[in-house]
Amino acid sequence: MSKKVFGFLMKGDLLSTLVPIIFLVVLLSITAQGFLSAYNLQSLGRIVGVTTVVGFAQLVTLSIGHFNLALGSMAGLTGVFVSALMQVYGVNVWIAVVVGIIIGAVLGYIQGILIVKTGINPFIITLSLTSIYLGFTIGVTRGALYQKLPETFKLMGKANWLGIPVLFFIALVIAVILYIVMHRTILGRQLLATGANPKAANFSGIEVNKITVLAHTISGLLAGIAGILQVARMGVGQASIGSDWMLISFAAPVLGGTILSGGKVNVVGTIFGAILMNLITNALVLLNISQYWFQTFMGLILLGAFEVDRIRVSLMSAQRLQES
Amino acid sequence: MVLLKGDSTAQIEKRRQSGLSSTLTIFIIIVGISVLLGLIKREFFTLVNFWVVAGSFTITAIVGLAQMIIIGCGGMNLAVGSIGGLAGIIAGGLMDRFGASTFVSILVGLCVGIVCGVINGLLIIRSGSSGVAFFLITLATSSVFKGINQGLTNGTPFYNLQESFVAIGNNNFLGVPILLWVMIVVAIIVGLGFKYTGIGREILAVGGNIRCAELSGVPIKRIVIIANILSGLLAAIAAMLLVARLGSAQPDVGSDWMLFSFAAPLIGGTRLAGGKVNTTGAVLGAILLALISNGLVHLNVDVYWMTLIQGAIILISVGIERIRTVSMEKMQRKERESL
Repeated sequence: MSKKVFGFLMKGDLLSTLVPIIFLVVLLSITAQGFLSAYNLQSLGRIVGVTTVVGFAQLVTLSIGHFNLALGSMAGLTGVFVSALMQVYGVNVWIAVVVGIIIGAVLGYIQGILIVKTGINPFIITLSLTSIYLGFTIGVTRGALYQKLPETFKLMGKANWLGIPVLFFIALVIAVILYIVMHRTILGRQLLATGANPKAANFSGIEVNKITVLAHTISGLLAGIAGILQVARMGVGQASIGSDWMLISFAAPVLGGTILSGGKVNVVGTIFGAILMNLITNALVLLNISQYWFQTFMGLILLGAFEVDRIRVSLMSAQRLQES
Repeated sequence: MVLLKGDSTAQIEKRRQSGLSSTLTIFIIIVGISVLLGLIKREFFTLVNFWVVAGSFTITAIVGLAQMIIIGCGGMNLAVGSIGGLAGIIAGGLMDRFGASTFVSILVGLCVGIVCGVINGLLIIRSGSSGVAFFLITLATSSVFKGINQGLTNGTPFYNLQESFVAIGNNNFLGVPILLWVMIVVAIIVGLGFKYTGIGREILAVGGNIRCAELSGVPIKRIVIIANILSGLLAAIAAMLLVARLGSAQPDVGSDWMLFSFAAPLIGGTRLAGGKVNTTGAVLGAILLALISNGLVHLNVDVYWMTLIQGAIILISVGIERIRTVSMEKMQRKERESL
């Protein structure tokens, strides 16, 4: 009986994050001072919004079975660029944001083209691009901070609507779009097919190379958006944005049910994964644990996520064996 | 290049040995760059500068070898930097806080490397020992080790190191920096190990084709753990050498090792897919990277552009290596077809 329950918990991707989330919320409401304050919940909502979009950026590459290690640098470059456009050149906020999204897409496109055209291992390409994009940002800005951003832009980072942060709503909108693309469009099906089995996808007539470039382009686009959101959230544009995003970019999707080898993604799960991760960090802060131990917890969470992924995969194959 | 019917065995052998040219190519490039830099800037050929470059490439080489072992095993070790950092600060902390001797601190530092390696190995085995498993597990453990590092140090370095320890990183033995001696010994052991020992060959077997290795009776789990132990050990050695050279145990030792740890072996001809390593190449790759960094400084390149240039150079070098590999494979395929 308990094995069935356990199996259900594991297979119900959302439940495997929902249960710990509910548990933590209840625990923190009782034990931690200030958890339920509007300030804390709204600040949580903001960081969850950003983390979710970071997770989405990685989710798109995971769908084809690739890793985008450079998404942090893509976000940093985009964020800084948009900040500079608004602060130094007085560009209208909306135009700057649109330009930023295009930049993100271009950065992703370059990565995709390099992977497909050069045949160099994608790992090395994305690893080098992390340095290259970051280096470009540092080289052009010379380490400058952009703090005098337009009020309208900073408002996006601070404002709430119906008590919920605007940043969180933006993440939800992106989530809806991504869900539709992944599960209701041909593009989504082609992405997942390529991730599940590139050779079979190729034989089915899917142009794997084109899909690969597209996946990386979309990933870069989302990374760019994440960078812009982070700038709005922090109120300052700097090159270090995204520098420590690599881990959370994998943790959120994996906790949420996205399979790392490709072919299966879970958009809603990523949101819950982001919530769970940030709840844990929030708990650490409220419990006054030194911030220097955060990294350790993040790593342990990720290890836990892999364990869940492993169990999930083995349960899936066990179920398939049973059914056959 | 076509094989004719009348070709002797000797001629076929000579063509197959073009694999050596990987090491030779890098060597030539290194000599070329050195000469070029020396002509442009006189300061390049001074003993002081050699010391600076040696201080850098010896450590990069050992880090590169630490990564090369895992690459040979078919995976990657994203935690080389974090393991190194942790080993470095623990060794430093022992000396600073507890007045431990150089010998004990080094021993404990090495143990840290070994323990971290064991942890990595066990977790990777749990996840199936695939290349992806290596990547993801070490991504997570990299954070855990870095976190422990930060938790223990609170971000502040340890300054009070034993004099004999610091001497290791800064003195010469028979006119040659001790750092260089250590690197040479490590490189020889690693190189000979891969060529002549059973374990070395089994690591490469796992990297080459894990299913075949398994069917041939190679103990996959044991080999993965051993490879990770060796990698962690080398990372610890490199970190302690760096701490010795710097004179203080900085918590961010190893934080920027990731890219170089891959670049050195890959430039040197190690195949990222696994199964083939080139120890001499990895060392030469490290020397090349150190030379380029040093050269950029001498050429007064804007410090803000360094990161970009280094990333670009690594991408280009790996690209060149890739072109060479692809053309060599095409050649070999043509030879095989015409036989």
